[in-house]
Amino acid sequence: MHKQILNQMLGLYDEYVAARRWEAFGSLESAGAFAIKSYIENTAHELCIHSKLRIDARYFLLLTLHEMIWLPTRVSPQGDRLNRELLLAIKDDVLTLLKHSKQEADGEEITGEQVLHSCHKMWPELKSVELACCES
Amino acid sequence: MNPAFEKRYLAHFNSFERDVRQKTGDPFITEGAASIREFALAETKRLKLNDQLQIDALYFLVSTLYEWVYRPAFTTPETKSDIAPVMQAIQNDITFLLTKAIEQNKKQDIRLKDMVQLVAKLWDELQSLQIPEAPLASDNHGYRR
Repeated sequence: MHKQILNQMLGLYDEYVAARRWEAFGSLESAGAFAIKSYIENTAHELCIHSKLRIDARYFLLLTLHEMIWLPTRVSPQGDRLNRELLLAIKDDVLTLLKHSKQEADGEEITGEQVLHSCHKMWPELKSVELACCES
Repeated sequence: MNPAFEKRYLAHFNSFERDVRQKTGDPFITEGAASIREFALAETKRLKLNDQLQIDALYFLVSTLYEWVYRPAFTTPETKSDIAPVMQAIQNDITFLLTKAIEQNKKQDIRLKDMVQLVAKLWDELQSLQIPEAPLASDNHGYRR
């Protein structure tokens, strides 16, 4: 990946949570973004791929899970139990997707393209997608 | 799709431009985001996909191309100074993906999982997704294909 664009993605990834603090439902939006970002970072450590997981892959995963799953599916602050359930499902999905990406990358860098391929391949097993009722 | 979630996707899609303005505070980035959204809507209409293309698939297309391609390109000095080819590549990809979606899904609904599958399958043919990988003009190569 070109270094300048990679640097921009790093900045956008780092600022992603802070940029959502001021939205409507601000605390809920940024809490979701913060949790998802933590799952990505913790899982990368757990799978020993922290240095192999490229920033475009991290940013793509954060965007997809936050924009496509968390935002449309999370419920009002009164629905805490459902939100926690959704976040647990997203946490499991981060592990499922990064495990698959690691296996496919076979020791090489894990790119955004690889993570997208993992989303496609592992789709039927993604718990948050099932919860979101987007598909069965 | 669950009607409640469909409604929420629609709400996010409809407030896309306003949300980008609030998040970035930048009128030029907002203009780009609005152009991507409007172009995708216009192509959906032109290709008579209104009933077939589900809102989650359309939102994924617009949101990913904006957040993952346009925004990093816009904030990189080399590509910001010549952003028109980036926008053109994004528009070409929207048309290409929607056309392929029709071929693949025939008359069936085009949903989020179908769009994820299409982007994964056609990655190498999508011009805008090659931009982050290509050397920039500052390396005397440019990124146009």
